[in-house]
Amino acid sequence: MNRTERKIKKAFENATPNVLGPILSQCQQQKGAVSPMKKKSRPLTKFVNIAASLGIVALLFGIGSVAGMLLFPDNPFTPGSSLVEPEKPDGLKGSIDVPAGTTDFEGFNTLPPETLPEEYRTVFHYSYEEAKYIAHHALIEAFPWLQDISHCVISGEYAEGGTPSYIFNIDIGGHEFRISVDEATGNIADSQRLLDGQWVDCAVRFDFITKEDAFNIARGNFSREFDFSDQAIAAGLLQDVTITLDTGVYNIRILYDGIVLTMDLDVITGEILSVNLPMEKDDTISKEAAIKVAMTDAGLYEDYLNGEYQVHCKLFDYDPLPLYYVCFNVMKEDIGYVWAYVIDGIGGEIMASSRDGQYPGDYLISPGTALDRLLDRLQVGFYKVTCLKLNTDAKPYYYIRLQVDGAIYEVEIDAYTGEISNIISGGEIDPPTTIDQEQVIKDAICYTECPDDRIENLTAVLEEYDDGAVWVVRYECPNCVHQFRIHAETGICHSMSSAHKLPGICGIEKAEEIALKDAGVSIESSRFCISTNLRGLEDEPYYVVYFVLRGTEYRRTIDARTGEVLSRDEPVDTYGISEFEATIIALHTNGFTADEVDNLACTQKRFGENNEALSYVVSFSRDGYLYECWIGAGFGEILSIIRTN
Amino acid sequence: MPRQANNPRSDTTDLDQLIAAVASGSTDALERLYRLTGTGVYSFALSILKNSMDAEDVLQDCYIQIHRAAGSYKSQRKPMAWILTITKNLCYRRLRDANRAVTLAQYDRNSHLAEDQRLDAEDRLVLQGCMELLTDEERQIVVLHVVSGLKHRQIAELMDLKLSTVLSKYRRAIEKMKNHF
Repeated sequence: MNRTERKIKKAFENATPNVLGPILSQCQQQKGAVSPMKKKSRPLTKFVNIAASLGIVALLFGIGSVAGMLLFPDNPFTPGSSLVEPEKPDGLKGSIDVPAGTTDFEGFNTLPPETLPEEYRTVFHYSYEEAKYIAHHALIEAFPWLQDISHCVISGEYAEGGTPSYIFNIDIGGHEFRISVDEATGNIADSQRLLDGQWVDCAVRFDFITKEDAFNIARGNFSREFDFSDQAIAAGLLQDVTITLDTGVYNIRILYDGIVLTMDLDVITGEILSVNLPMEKDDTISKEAAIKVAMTDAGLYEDYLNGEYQVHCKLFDYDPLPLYYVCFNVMKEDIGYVWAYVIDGIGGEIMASSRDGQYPGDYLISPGTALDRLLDRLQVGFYKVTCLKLNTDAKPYYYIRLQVDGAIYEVEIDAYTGEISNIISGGEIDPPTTIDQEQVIKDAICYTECPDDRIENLTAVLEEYDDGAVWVVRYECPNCVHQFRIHAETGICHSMSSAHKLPGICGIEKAEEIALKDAGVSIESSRFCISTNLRGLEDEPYYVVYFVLRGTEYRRTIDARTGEVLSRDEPVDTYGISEFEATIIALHTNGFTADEVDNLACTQKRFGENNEALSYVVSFSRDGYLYECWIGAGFGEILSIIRTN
Repeated sequence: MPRQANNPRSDTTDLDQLIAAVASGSTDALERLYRLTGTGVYSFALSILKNSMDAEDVLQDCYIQIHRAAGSYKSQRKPMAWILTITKNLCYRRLRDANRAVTLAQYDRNSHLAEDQRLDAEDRLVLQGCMELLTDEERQIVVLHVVSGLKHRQIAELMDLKLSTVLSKYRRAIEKMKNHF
């Protein structure tokens, strides 16, 4: 359970009243009056039936994983005469200091240490490349000074005799080794070093999480949502498992009842690096399926199949789920209209739709029409639309937030009829207020679970920027340091950084200063977002500093001991629709074409209180009105339309 | 206040046994059942009704209903789903009887729930976010999974939705809540 889930659980637990007394009292009164409930029987789900038939396929999995390997029956190892400690060329003793593998993580310990049935076991075997990685890294761990030598030649063989294993001859700068890796477990079975023309045993080992452990970690994590019991496996729900070792990370892919689950684990610590429940690529509906959903809803699917429509369909791999944007032109009385749909890439459901122009029957009215209806009702002059969105969850309605002469109106408009269905508010705008220090400290402490009486060195400093003020709250728990940037007016926490207190490690502030300096930027907004975390505590500690500035996302890793910048990610650009598409959407939403407006311009900006959404702002003028349309850069949803005269 | 069982999966047998004991008239079993599942029931009711007073009534009615119907319960290893089905039916009946559509405006953050002294500022923020940011389905899915401890597959069955829909809505909802904090 993650932090958000824990907070939700705690809130509902605390909200639950205790009504046990009245319940027991009423049950006492009604004792004996038992009226049986009617129960509706449910057929077995389609998934279970499919899974049972696919179970046979699952049994076959993995058999091919070792097929095709070269077989070398002879073991070239010769018994060593003595065991030597790792030694540096200058005679100084080396040390083997490998962090112990751990599988301790939330949820895993609740499971018994089970393994997959026998037919799946080959999944846990190691390929040639994986064994090569293990052999090489075991050697580096045992003889750290080898890292400084760039010349390295590794050749390997597969030996089936006795215990199947891979045998690697490794030459690093003239230092020759032979390492044998057990094909089934990945363990170092034997290791020798060539010294003075003699092969002698040497102490080489590599503590890491095995594939079997990795699978159990994954299963432990996923079993909170999926049944991994023996019965479920016997029923064929577990259809496929693939575990590959790639540069220190296990990539685990589990096909469970038609759903792809993926997880990445650190091969040494077992730390979960990333988890994905439904994996988009394997679980995403096809482009044709998305088009079918949209065109069927539009009543045009047959025409589409007959080639009468050119449809633009694009998949956006969004987190948390992929979305299809389906767009096409509809001609009515020689006038072209753009219709657009947003389709859930996994479930194939219509998430939102936009149909411009005049609609017959049960078609939705356009956002522009909804706004006009509201303005007709209010009869106002100068106004500003701060939000206009279509909610299609149940009965579709437009939510419009309008600012008129200091008053804010929040209204819901029936998207079928255009009737005003609900007026949520219509009051005065509250002047901006600054949250006091006491409140902001209380809020900041809520973000961690450190008890109040164990907090030390608490400071809260108000920093002023052109666009507002921000409280910078910093405090220490027994083991950690925390730092927050909380907007003084909204109370929104824009930045959250935490790190363990360890000797010889530079502080969060220093790490952030180095990262910002390296990127050539400075904090210039009260909404500046920065997050810093300390990682790699078992080995070489480093800070990961992530920050967003003017719509661009940066990431820097900083050596926590030396302050050196270890890596720089290029600014991240994750958004999809083009300026042209945004412009088209904005124009058509308001019922215009590019030829009918003046001063047409499109720029990219951030939108929302948290500055969280990247958007296009399309502006133009027409009939004495100035239009400013905010369009989501993701899939072109309308975020806001501002029309002023 | 009732506390949800830490691991609902391992408590399936316990709950089955408790329902059987309730059927045989044990008030101790009913009390234990309430303590194990009450939070899940109340939260699910609140997620449907968006009104703490009504949810409290449903919480009470639900266990009275369980007390009445325990004799007809046949274990299918889904005791929590059975209890939540009763909860859902009671909620829908309440909505139907009152002939009211729940709107955002009806969730009055300054009323009963907001004044509840057991809730701290963060709890109120979370509940407010759940009620205002999430759609009805998203809220019910989140509550059923996080608070009631149902698996997504069981939620899909309970709510007559596709598993993929439940998964995607759940992830979307958690993302919304995460951004809200």
